[in-house]
Amino acid sequence: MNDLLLENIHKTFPIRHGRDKQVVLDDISLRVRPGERWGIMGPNGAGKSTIIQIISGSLTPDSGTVHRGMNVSWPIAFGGAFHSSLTGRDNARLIARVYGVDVDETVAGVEAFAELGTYLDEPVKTYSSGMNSRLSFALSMAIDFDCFLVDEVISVGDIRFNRKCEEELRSRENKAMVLVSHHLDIIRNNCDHAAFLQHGKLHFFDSVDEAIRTYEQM
Amino acid sequence: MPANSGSIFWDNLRLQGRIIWALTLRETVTRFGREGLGMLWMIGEPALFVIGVMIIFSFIDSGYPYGISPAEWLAVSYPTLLFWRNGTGRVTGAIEQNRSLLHHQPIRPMDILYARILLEFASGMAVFLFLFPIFIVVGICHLPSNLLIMAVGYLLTIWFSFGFVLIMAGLAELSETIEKTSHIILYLMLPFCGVFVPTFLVPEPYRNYLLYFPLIDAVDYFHHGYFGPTVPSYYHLGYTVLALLGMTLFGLAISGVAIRRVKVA
Repeated sequence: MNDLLLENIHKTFPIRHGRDKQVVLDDISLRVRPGERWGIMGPNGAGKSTIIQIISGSLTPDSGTVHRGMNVSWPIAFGGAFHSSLTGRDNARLIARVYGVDVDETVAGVEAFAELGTYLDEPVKTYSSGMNSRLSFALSMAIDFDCFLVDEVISVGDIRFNRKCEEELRSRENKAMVLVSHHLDIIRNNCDHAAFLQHGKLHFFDSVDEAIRTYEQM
Repeated sequence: MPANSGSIFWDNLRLQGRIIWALTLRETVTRFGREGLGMLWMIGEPALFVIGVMIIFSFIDSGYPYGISPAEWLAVSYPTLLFWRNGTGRVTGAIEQNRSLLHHQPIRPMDILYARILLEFASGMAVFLFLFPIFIVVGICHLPSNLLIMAVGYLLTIWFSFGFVLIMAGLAELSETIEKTSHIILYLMLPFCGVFVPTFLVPEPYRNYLLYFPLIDAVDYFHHGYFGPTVPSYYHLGYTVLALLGMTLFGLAISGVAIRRVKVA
């Protein structure tokens, strides 16, 4: 069982100071097999990041199970996975140690791929969101994940870096990916499976094009 | 099957050890930085505190019996306070502040607490091991009467601090009131920590009541190791070990509950 499997996930968030509940995910199931590239679409606030955080394990669902048969990355792009007062280099060291990979090799890989120059030695809190995603993306490439979680990464960088990221992802064909975005082009170019999230439900389609067509007509 | 589950256990333990070590190194950099004195602050800051308190109290005629000077009393006592006091300050809110790290699969929230406790306790221990020999050389302290008893008392104090810190970490995460008032709790504990009010100055039956608080027993056992039989010390070792065991289990349970709460919202 080396699939990533979400079964019957329910997730609510308290609103109005806990007097009420907002249902974000309502009985969602998803199976990601090795090598599959999933794109999950949805408007802002539909619960895309919630799904990603439940997959990464930083958020627990109210009910339902997550089975991680593969080694899953943190949500790339989303600057939130770093320690803001540490420099980019120290974050790279920390994360290399946490995942048990060679520290010097990781730092060298990040230096080469992220092209942050001298900013690598500045605290992450001084980074722009584009720089943050450069660091996040470069670092996740240095660690051998089976499944990458991508939360809008490709949309924040500049064009050249975006292209580099997409090429890098495409070159790792045997890796699975779950990408959430409301940018349909990104999903069309990078995914071979698609679903969209609406009113707490996940809708599946036979092809990516069909999913995008339906999504556009909404 | 048993061999297999055994190796999984060791793998997990190794993994957790690696994570706690990585977080501790991280913590060392964020707290002490790489510039200036850096790591030396780990000893320097608490050392200045201990010496400052010793100097101030030397001007107060505390009237300790048995020929104990205030400086000597505090040199031996005060460093025990660093563990539970600074430790608590370090862990309250630690998980919330480090939420971003929870996106990384291998990091468990408990590891964040353990790393902070490890660093704080290492600092508390380093400062004592650094200062105590100096105090002996300059004549403020004498050689310990029984080093083994002193060491056991010291470890009991550290064990108390571990349980206490976990309980405070859990409660502070569960209740905003506790988080906001934790420094008040710490301050009000000062008379009941075996440092500022020596047990030999407390009349019965109050002394007996005090001994229900395991910290007092632990610190007094530590004192007993240092002063020896010439200064009376009061403790119930069996009770203390039992109480500390209970505190540790309660601390683990309540911080576990708190962590589940953090990961839900």
